Amino acid sequence: MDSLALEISLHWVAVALYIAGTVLFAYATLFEHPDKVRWGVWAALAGLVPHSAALLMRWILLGHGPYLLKYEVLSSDAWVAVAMLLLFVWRRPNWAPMALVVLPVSILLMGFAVFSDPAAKALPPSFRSVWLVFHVTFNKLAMGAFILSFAAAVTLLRKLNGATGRLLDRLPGPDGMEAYTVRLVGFGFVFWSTTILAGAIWANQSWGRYWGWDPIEVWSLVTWLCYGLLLHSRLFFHFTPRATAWSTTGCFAMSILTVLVLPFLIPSVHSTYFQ
Amino acid sequence: MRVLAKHQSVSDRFSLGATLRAVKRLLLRRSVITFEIVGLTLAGIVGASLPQLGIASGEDMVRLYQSGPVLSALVELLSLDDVFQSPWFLGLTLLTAASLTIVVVEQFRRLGRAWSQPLTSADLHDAPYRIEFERVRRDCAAAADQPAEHVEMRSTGRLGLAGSPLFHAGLLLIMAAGALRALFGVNAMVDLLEGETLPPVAEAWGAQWPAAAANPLRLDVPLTLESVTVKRYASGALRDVRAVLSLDTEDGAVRKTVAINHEVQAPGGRLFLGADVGPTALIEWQQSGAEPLREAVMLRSLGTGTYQKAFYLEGYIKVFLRADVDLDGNHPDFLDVRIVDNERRALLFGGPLRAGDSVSLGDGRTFTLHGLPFWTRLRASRDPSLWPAYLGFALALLGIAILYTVVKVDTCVVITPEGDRERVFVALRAQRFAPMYRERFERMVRAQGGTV
Repeated sequence: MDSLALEISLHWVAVALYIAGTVLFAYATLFEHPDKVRWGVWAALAGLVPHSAALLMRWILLGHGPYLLKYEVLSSDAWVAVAMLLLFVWRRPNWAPMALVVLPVSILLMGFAVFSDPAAKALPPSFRSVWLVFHVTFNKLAMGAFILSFAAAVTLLRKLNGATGRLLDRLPGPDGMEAYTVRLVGFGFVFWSTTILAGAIWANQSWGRYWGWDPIEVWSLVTWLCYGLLLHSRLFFHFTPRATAWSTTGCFAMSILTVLVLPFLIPSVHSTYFQ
Repeated sequence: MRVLAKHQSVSDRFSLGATLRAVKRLLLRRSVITFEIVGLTLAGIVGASLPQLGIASGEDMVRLYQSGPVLSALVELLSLDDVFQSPWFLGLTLLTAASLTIVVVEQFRRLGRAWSQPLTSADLHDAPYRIEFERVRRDCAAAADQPAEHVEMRSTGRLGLAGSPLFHAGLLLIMAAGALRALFGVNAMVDLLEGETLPPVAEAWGAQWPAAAANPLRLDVPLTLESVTVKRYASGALRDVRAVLSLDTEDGAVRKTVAINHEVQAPGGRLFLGADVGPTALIEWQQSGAEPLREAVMLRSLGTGTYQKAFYLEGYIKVFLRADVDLDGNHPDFLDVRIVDNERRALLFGGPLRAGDSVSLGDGRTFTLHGLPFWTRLRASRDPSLWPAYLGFALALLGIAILYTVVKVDTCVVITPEGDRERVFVALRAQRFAPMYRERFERMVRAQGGTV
């Protein structure tokens, strides 16, 4: 088995374990077995092992991080989302129902990844910059935080729509859940700002300008403004938890559009790399 | 008369002050700030969705201009082909900057007041988390020596108050830097051959993009491109480009290496190197009785180690040039040349030429290759906004990091003895994310023997 085939196989093993994790979380949540949440955590954690191995193998083989091809970008984004979920659930075990949103999103990302072209591509010279590492790392952290905030928003909406259950009842009330959602949005906003900042420094280092109105640069600014609008509007107009949850969902859709859809569609300095 | 004039001046000042206060109130209105953010977001969406001048290709721009009468009229009316330079976007940005300035001033004023304000139990009497209960007096033995009331005040995370002011001040600085760049920034580029010297004049640059109030860029000293090094991957894809520059300063020649992602500070501007590089064919075309024509033909990459270029001489002689650069980036040993007479449909010459070789093509025509140096594209920038922008980025980042990680939390426990019992008042106020502090409040209450 060559290294690429092994990588793909490891990815599939991880997908299988994440699916198992989703089923176990669903069982614990829907059939009200809070004590079984740990099974889902273990399955997701077990999935993270082959997933990490696949990403590491590729990193060592190619000599650069997972930020060049669609295959690498999507897979590593899924890894960050699962890792952040597990970290969050470890700190706040009552929030396990969020896994029912985060794990399917991650599985979807990995599905798109393994069906895209994984053929290795040489690192362009402009990619040899420490600022790229910061740019990409913080972008992934931002996406992880946005996925978690989206999951919190979906869970909040479920609660507001009258869903009950032993696990859901363990979560804070609507106001508390809204505060968590906004704090996760806040963390994402900090990471997203750092992404833009690192990208600006990198652009200045490469091209002598820190901002060039490149379409993807502008879309990232639009996403940043959308989240800024959410955070301001919530304060200004005293948003209800429902309004915050829906706004968070809308902003999350915008971030997905910016990171995972538009770079593949729009001609820009970013689109030439995520092929 | 003097009294009247004085009265009028006071009245003017009064009305000016009132107008300024009204403008300030307007700029601080929540609906106005929301309008500004929504406006900037929509401008971004339009600017990123429609092809923009200077960014999109010529074909995309033509397609935009020919996309139906309604859209074409809108493009014309609202400058939708150049959103970020349009008057309405400039107006919106100025409005936002004005609001932001007032917000920053107000926030820092409030921060100054809140920072030095001592916390008292009265401040927490209307705290969102508060409870009052009675319990058996815990320190009966020492009751006689106890003061009438025991107050325990605590305030943590005061730094959290500085988050929002710092963030908004950073944003304001970034906007100011943007304005500085839009007024005084300049970018330039030139294609240079190995051994070529760029004189210290603005006209020496191949292209310049000066901002509205900027002088064209010119270096203060002559610059010579001494050598170019190209490295490739085994696949032929470009790995690295470096160029050694010589700056002819008063203290003698100073050598500097510029590379991709490795800028060089030169007197008069910063220098950058892109991935545009390749061999140059220094050719001479001689026709009997005519002045020799000398040209430097820059060959373009095909994405691998092969470079080529096709061009016409005399309008009907087509010349194809091709050269290969090996993985170590050595200069090509020879140039592959094809010369075709398009009128007679005849191949005049085909084969390799080395530097110094000359071929006779009949009718008194000769084609000579004098050399194969590398060319590269040097970019330059003079940007007075760079450090203000970076400082703005740093402040904004510090501000939001503080905003979402440090929260000011005030707590108080007041114990008032009443005979053999005592009244306990516990309160907690969090500046942000109040519901997340419920557990902490409950712990505090339990520690005092109460229940929530």
